[in-house]
Amino acid sequence: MIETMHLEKSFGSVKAVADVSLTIRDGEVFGLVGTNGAGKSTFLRLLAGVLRQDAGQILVDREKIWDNPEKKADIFFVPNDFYFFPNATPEEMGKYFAPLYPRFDVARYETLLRGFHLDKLRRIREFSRGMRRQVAILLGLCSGTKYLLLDETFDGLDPLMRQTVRSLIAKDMEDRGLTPVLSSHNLREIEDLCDHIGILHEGGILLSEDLEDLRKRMQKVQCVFSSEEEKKTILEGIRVVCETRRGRLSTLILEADRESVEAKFRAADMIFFEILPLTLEEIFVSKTEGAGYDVRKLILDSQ
Amino acid sequence: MTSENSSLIRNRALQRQILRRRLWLTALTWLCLLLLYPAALITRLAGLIQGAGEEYLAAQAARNNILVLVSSWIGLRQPLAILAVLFGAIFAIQGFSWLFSQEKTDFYESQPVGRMQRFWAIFWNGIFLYEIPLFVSLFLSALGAAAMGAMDEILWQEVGWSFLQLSLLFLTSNAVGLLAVMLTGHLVVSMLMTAFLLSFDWIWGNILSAYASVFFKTVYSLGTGPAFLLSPLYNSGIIRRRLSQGWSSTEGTRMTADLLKKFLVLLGTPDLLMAALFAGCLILAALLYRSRRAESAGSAVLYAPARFFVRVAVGLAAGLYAGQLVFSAFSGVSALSDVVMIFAILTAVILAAGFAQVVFSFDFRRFFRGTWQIALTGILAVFVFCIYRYDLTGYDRYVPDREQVKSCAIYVYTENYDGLLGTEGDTDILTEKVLDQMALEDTDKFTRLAADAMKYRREAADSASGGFEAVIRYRLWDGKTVTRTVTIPKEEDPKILDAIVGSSAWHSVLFPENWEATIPRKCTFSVTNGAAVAAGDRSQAVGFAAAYREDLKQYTYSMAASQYPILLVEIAGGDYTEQFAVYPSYEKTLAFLQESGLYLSPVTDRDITRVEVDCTGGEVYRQTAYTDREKIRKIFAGCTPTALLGSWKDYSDYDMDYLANASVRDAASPFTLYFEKNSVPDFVQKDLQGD
Repeated sequence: MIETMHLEKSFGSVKAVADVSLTIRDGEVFGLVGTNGAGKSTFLRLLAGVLRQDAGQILVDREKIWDNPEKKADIFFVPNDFYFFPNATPEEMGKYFAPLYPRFDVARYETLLRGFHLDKLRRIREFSRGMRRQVAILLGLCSGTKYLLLDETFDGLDPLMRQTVRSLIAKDMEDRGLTPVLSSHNLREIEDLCDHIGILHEGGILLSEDLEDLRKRMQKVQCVFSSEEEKKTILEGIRVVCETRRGRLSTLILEADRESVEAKFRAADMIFFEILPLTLEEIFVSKTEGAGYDVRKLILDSQ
Repeated sequence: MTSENSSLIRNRALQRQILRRRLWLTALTWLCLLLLYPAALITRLAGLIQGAGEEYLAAQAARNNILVLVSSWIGLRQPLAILAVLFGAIFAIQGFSWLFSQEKTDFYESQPVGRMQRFWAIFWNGIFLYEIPLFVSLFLSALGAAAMGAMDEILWQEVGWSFLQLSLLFLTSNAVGLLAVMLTGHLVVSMLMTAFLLSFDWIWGNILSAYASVFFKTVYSLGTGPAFLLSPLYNSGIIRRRLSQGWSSTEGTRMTADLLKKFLVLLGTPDLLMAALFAGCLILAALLYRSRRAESAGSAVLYAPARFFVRVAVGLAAGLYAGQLVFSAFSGVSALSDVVMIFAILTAVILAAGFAQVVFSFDFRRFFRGTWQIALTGILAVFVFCIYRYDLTGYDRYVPDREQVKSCAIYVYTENYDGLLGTEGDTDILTEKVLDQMALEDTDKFTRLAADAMKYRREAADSASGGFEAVIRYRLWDGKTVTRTVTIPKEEDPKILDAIVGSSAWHSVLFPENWEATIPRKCTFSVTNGAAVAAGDRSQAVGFAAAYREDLKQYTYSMAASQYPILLVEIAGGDYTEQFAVYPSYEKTLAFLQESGLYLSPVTDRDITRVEVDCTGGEVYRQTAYTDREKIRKIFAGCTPTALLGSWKDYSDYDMDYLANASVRDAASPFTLYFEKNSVPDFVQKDLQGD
C-alpha cells in the first residue's frame, strides 16, 4: 500500500503538489488524472523517490521511500521520457535492470520483445517514439516489482498496443499482485482499467475515490423539465455538479445515488428523464469546472 | 536472496554499468598515459642511446644522460603533471553529468540504489579508472627503461613518489571538480565553476601581486610567484617552476638520494595542503549530493551563497585586473592614473558581475539583477585599490619592534656575493641563499637601518638618486618572516653599517665555514689586478681560504667604502664562479699569494700603452683614443678598473656616460675602467663632445 499524507512540493514559487493525501491499495489499479500542470508527473516522481517532498509523508508498505533502496526495489517508474543509454539495445537495457531488480524476468522480457516485434539487438535510438515507449513499459512489467508507476501510460502507443498493454497489466495484477499507478490524459483508456481514480488540479487533489463508488454516488440524468418550479422541487436536496441545456433538454450531473434520483424524478411525473452511464471524462470535466477550470467560459469571454 | 547479497550484486552491477558509461574516457585515459609514459620514454631513450653511440660519448656520460632523461620524464621533474589535474576534473564532471539532466535524474534516482552508494561508486570508479592505467604506464616505463639500462635504485624510488604525487594531484582536482558539480546544475556552468575553483587563488594572487608591485615601493618578489598555493593546477608545476627559478643545476642532474629528499621536502607542505583540500572538498561534495534535489537539473548555480560568492569574486578579479591593465598605459602613479584606473575597475566590475548573473539565470535581461551585489563588488574593488594605492596597511612603513625580531638578514645587490656555494656544489637563488644563511642578531641597529632604508626608498624620486638597493628579512619570534626591498642611503650612519657589515654573521655568508669542502674538484683559481691574470689551481684555493678568512675579520663598511681592492681572486668550476676582493690591508692573503707566485702588482699608468674612451652620453656615440703618456696618466688618475670596484660603491659615484678601455703591455686584451664622478679630464670631454 502506498500512502501519502499532506504531501507538498514546490518549485520556486510554484506549488506543484499541495496537501495531497491519498491511499493506493495493493492489487488495485490507481488512475491518476488531472488538468495540464496539475502535478501528476511531480506526484509520481515523489512516489518513485526521485523528488523529495517539502512537507508531508510518503509511505510505501509503511516505510518511507526517500533514499530507501530496499523499498525502491518494489517500485518501477516509467516517466514520460524514459532515458535509454546512448547506443543501447533493448537487450542491454534488460541486462542493466536485471541485477538491480531481483525479480526481473529476463526470459519473459525477451518473449515480450519478440511478441511486440521489437528487435532486441537493434539500437533503441533508431526506434520510433511509440517503440521506445513499448520498451520502457516492457522493462517495467518484467522488473517484477510490486508497484509500477506509469506516467502518460498510453502516450505514443497505437490502439492495438494500448489494448495489449492493458491486458498485460491486468494479467500481472492477477498473476503476481501488481499494483499499477497510471497517469494519462486518455480517460477512456484509464476508465476501462482503473479501480480507483485520483483527480489532481493545480497541485491539489480534487477527488480520490473508487470508480464504482464514484459512479454510485454521481448520476448523469437527461431530462425535460416542464417548469422551473418542477426543476426546483425535484432537485431540492440534490447537489448539481454540472448542468448543460439544449433547448428544453437538460443534462445534469448530480451527486446522489441512483435510487434516490430515480425516486425523485419518478415522483415528479416528468415528461422525460433518463439516467445515463457516466463516463470518467464527464466526471473529470464536471469536477474541474467546479474548481474553476472552465475552458468554455474562456472561449466565450474571448469572443 | 538476502539483503546483503542483493546489495553486493547491485554494487557490482553498478560498477559495471558505470564502467560501460565511461568506456570512451577509460580508453582515452589508457591511450594518453601509455603514449605519454612508456611509449614516449622508450622512444626518447632509444634515440638518446643511438645518439650517444654516434657522438662517441663516454659510457659514464651516456649513462648519466639516460638516467637524467628517465628522471625528467617520469620522475618528479616531469613536464606534464598538469594532465593529472585535467583528468581529475574531467572524471569528476563526466561521472556526475547525469545530474544535469532531468531525464537521466529520473532514470537513476528511481532505481533501487542508495544515494550515497551511487556517489561513492562513481567516485571510486573514477579513482580506479585513472590509477590503474597510471600505475601500469609508470611501471611499464620503468621496466622498459630498466631493460635499456636506464634505471637505478634511486630512480625506482623517484618513480614511486612520482606516482603518489600524480595521484594526489588527480584526487585533489577530482574533489574540486565534484564540488563544482554539486554547486551547479548545468554542464557548461560546472566546467566554468571547476576552472574557477581550480584557479581562483592563483589568479587572485597574481592580481594582488601586480598591485603590490605597482604601488608598494618596498615589495620583494623574485618575480616568480609563491612556491605553492591551494590550487592543484598551480601546484602541479612546483618542481618545474623551481627549476626555472634557479635550481638550474638540478635540471640536468642525475637523481640522487639527497636531491630526491630535497624535492620531497619542497613538496611536503603543498602536498599536505592539497590533501586537506581534497578531504574538505570531498566531504562537502558528498554532503551537498546527499541533500541535492533532483529538480536542480538544468539550473546554473544552485545555492544563493555560492552565486553571491562567485559573482563578487569574479567581479572583483575582473575589476582589479582591468585596473591593472589600464595602469600599464601610464608611466607612473598620478591623479589621472587613479581616476582612469577607478573608472576601469568599476566598468569591469559591472560587466563581469552582470555577466555572471546572466550565466546564473540563462537570461540576458537579468544582467542588472541584484544591483546591490554589483555595488558591493564595486565598493570592495575600489577599497582594495585604495589599500594598495594609499598603503592603508602600512606595508611600506612596516618595521617590527625590536623585541619581536629573533634575527635578521640583508642582501645588498652591489655586494660581491657572486655565486655563493651551498652544499655539494649546488648554486641556488643567490638572494634567497644569503637571506637564509645570514642571521644578524644586532636587531637594534638592524631595525634602525631598515627604517632609514625603507623611508629613503619610499621618498626617493627614482633610482638615479643613488643608494644601495637591498633586500632585508626579519625572522620573528612567532615564526613568521617579513621581507622587504629597501634602498640604503649613502648618507646612512657608518657606525650602523659597520656594526652589520663587520659582524661575524655577515662575514660567514661572504665566506662560509665549510667553504673549502664545497670547492669543486675541477676548478680554476686565478688572480687579477684588473689588467693581467695569474692562474693557479685547486690546491691554492684551499690555502687561500685560510688566509682570506682571517683577513676578512677586518672587513667593515667603512673599510670597503673608502678603499678599492688591489686584487681580485676568482674561482671558477662547473656552473659557478666566485670572486673575492683583496684589499691592501689583507696582509695574510697578500702574503699567501706572493708565496704562491700569484701576486700581481697593482696596475699603474706606466703599464698602459693606449686608452680608448667611449662616450655614451648625449645623442651620438663617440670614441677617441690616447697614447700620450701625460694624458694617459691624467685619465688613469680619475679611473678605477671595473673589476676592482669592490664593495659598497654606488654607481652614482661614477660618471657612467664615459667608459675607458686600457691596453697594457704584453696583455692579450684591454681592461675597462670607470671614471669617478667629476674626474673626466677636460681634454677628454672636449674631444668627445665635439665643438
